Amino acid sequence: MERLKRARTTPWPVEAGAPFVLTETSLHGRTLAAVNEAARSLGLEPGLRFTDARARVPDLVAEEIDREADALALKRLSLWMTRFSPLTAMDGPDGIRLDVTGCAHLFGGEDGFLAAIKRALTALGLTARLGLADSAGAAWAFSRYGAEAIQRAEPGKARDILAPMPVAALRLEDGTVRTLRRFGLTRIGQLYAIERNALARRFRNREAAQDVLLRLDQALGVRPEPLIPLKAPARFTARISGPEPLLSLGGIEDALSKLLADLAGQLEQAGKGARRFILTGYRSDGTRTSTSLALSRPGREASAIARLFAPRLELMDPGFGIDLMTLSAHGTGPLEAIATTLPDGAALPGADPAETAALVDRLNARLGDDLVAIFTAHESHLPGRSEALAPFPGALKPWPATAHRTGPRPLIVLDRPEPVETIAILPDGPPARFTWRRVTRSVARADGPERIGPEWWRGATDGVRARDYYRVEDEAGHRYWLMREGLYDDQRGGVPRWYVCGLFP
Amino acid sequence: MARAILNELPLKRLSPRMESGGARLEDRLGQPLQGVHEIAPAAFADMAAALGLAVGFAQTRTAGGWLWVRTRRQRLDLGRISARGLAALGADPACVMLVETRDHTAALRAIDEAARSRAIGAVIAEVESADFTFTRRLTLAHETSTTPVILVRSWRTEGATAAHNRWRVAAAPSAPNLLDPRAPGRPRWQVTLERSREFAQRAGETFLMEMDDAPFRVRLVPALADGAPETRPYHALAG
Repeated sequence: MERLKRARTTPWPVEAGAPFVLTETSLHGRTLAAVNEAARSLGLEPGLRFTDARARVPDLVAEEIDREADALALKRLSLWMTRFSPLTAMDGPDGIRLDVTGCAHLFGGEDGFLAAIKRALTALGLTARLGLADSAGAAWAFSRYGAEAIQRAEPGKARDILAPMPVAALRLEDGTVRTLRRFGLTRIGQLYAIERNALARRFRNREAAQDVLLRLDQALGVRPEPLIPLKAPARFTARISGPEPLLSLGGIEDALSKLLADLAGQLEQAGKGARRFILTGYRSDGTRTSTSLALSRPGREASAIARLFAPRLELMDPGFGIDLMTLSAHGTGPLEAIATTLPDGAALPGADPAETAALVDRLNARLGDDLVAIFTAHESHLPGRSEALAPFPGALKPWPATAHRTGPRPLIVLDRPEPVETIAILPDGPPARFTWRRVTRSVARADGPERIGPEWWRGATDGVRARDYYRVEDEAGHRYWLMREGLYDDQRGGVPRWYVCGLFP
Repeated sequence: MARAILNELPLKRLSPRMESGGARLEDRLGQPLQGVHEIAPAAFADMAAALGLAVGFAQTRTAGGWLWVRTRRQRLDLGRISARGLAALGADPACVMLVETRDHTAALRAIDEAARSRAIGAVIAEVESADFTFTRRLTLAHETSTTPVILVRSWRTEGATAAHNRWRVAAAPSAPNLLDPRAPGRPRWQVTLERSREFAQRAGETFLMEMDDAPFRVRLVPALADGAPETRPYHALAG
């Protein structure tokens, strides 16, 4: 059985007692998009022309509606509403739909649940109309057309409450509603009595007929209407709410250890571990704060994870108090033992892979995600492209034997080649002297060149000059990686330039 | 509290393994690296030599990955560490885990964390400064974890240290190249043992060290052999 709730929000600034409208410029000129209570009592309705409205209420205050901002606010609110149910979705431009199956008992039954939502939304300064029923369709009708601001139906009783409501409450198009009215069918209850085929025959338009039947079935819960949640709920989630809002780090720590114990139990039962944990705190003022932790391998040991979380908890700002906390596990997978040898018997580098991974997790948790990096080899002749850094992948892997061999490479590669002044140059050979960082160095010995051409298979190489690399040693014994960009007669530019690219030990 | 513990500990005490070694400095170079070492370049230009010596020292550890700690600023000032450059010194680039921290404090925290772990073969860290308290922390951590730590410090380094050894490195003309006399040969460094708890009597001595390549080890160049023809050709190739 599916129980659904809708909330409709009216988030525009209300001036006390004065009529206020939001307008929208459409094809037919400026029309009202939303009105407040005072304006409604003066007979103004959404859809009215602004000029007509102004004629009726001369001192009408109006503002242009910002649908994008409204949608964003609604999305933010929907995300915050996940504190009431993980299955939450935005519904149209002004509604939020929650699948609350199995959630209500956390708040002392459905009445308590609705009251809690109402309280929370009122605290945020929002006027909301709530509807709760067996089906999404009925809940929609309750929230829009219900007699009360909070309308709820006992299981199986939605049919009776829907009966006196206008047919528009079935989420039908305006044209269809008009057609039904022409038949004298103005209330939902009247549709119950008519045989389905007979109802369908009355419409010339087959689609409209199908639509009426579909919406009626959805409202009565005969046909399912699945909810696509805003965020897929994590399969493993633990939640905790205290009697009082948490304000201190100590409180958050206590809550985390309880959450972890719960979550670890869930994971253990499923025989799984998780690579990512997200801790979310729902503040009482309608905002959220969250922090996450990434492990290099799936894990579930509560005490170890709590230790890793410790330095991150300072980032959780309790604000005016956190009244609900959840911890969810993501990227779940089996807890695997790390292989210490390769299939062919060769040993992997690393003394203890599990401890190495644990150390990396500790460092990442304390200093920042993916801080620990490893070298990766790439197929390229260009020194800058042949190697890169990648986040630690969970275990050390051997350096690929297929990585092609290169000429001598320095231990330190400058972030970018630094141009040098050269003296006494032969067309093919290293300079006799060069000035780098304001010091002139005399070349005592040199080795090279190693010529590296542009990689033509990667795209346009017009104007790209070949580079000659030299390993040179100055009289003091400092060793450099010098590079000359271009040759003297390659007709691809002026005089070749010299650079220092790196330093040999 | 922590300071009180520090003050009570005898400074001369070394880790049990280091005391039992009792090896001569010449022999110790070939054995698996132990202890906390500081390597300082004689000048900024000798930084590459200092890092080369650090790799050479760490080379003696055959098991476990290395954790290489540096700050973002050091990359901007000096440059990137090259995997193939490491391979050219005989290190396996795949077993180097590189940590580039936001600032100096974060680097110190990373070194401290790593020094306590038994999981890795060696910690190589480039740090601008490390005071006595910090080096003392590292030597204490080393006593339980036995993970060697090499701090590559700035050329301005001076003053007291709790590290077992402090080496001062300057670049030196490379060994003669058998294949091409005009080309540089095996890298050599002028290394001074500036301070030492391990070889207290030899503090102040200067050695000429060479990075051998079969196997890759730092070894002392005998004074007389300086300039003598090499017996094995040197191939300056990277992995």
